[in-house]
Amino acid sequence: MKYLMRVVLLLCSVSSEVHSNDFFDFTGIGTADTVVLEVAEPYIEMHTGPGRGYPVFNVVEQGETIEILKHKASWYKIRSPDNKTGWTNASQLAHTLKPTGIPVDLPEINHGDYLKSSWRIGFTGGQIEGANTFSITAGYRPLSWLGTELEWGKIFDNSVTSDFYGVNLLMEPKTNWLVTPYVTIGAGQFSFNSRQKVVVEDAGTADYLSAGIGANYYIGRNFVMRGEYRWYSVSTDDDRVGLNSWRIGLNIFF
Amino acid sequence: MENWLKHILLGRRDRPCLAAVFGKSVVLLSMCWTILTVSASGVNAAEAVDKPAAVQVITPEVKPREVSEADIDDEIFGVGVYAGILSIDNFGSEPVYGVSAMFHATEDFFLQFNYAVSQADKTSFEELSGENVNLLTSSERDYTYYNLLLGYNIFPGEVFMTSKLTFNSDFYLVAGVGNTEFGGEDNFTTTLGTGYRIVLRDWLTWQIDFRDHIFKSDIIKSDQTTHNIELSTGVTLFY
Repeated sequence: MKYLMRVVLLLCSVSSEVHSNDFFDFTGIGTADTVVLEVAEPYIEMHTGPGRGYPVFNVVEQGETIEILKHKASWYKIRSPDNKTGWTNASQLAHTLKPTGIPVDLPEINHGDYLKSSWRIGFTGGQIEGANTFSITAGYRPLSWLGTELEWGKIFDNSVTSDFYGVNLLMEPKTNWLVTPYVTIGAGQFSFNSRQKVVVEDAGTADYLSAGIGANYYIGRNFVMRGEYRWYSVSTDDDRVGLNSWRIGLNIFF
Repeated sequence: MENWLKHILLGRRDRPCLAAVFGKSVVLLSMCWTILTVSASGVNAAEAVDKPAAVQVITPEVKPREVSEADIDDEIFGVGVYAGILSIDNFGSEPVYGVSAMFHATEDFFLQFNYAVSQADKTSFEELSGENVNLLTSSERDYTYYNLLLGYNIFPGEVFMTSKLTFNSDFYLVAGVGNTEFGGEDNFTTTLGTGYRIVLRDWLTWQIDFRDHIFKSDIIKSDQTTHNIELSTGVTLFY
């Protein structure tokens, strides 16, 4: 009989899973279907908000089914059988079963995903020869150890400011380490603007080649911290000038 | 049945005979076995009646399910608009209007990009010196900034509007760098601030921000560190 009740319960949940969140119907963003899971642990807790600081206001017991409405970071908004909605942590949902009886496999991001993922965006801040600089980067990794990156940034010196844009090649041979060292080479162009107080005729542009070493550190979810030393060789009218630079940054991979 | 069993067991005790006892025991055991199997098959029969019925109900309903866990809706990207007052150091306080893009990375951290415009008024020096004294041209008075900030939700909480109406909230800190174009120059700008966000809906938040945009300027005096305080309010839509 218990088996029969469970089957009936699951059938009910299957028919109810097509109910989308009313709230979302209103917005038009809506989810057509939701995932329905059965609680396998003695109970799971429902918080009032997506964060550990929010209080627990309800529990769903073993054998009951929950409907997953959405997720925000590592928190999932669920609907309990008594039609209450609240938030539960991903670690709690790991103790639930799909209607087929298979343990649930929720999308979680970890270090392994960083190694697999191909796309990343990020920003850096640092200094070039004592002048402040920041940049925005967008990268793609076709091979596990080789990545390419487009970079746009600004340099703020006392007398000139400069935009720069370039292409970098990153070689990251030891991606399975927590701190992954890399070597980078790049090429690009500085575009100078004289500051108000300095009168310079046509500040112009200059091409550069760069080489650097750095390390990525995986700090959690889809965040990677980056630290780098880079040496620029800038071509001027009749010579080449070397510039030292360091920067730290944050990359988001997906 | 118990009396009948007693009768067999006790009634025959006055004539003990190993073979007979053995024989009787075999009979007794076989009878017990029969009773048990009959009652058990009765139970099985009752269940068997239930089971095929359940299977018949299930079979047409069970289909390969299209929904997968990866399809769960998430709301981590947001775009917003804001407006407020920007106190431009030396140049008075002026309205500021901006747009923002947000990315909620974890329950604690978020990234935010902001772009805003304002226009500076005259300094008190210019006001006092008469019509002909202008430190900046009209276009140089345009104040435009953009920045990338890292935010940390330091105090998550709840707001109780009425006994029935409750909203989640966050008190957060932000810090980051960016560029301020003012006085015809680009200026490396460090931004620090705090904010308070009320989550009206999962997809809609309302926030109040207090931010200090710090950069070095040469407009009034050489290498002056200017603090440009911004007080603004806005809404963010998440999708």
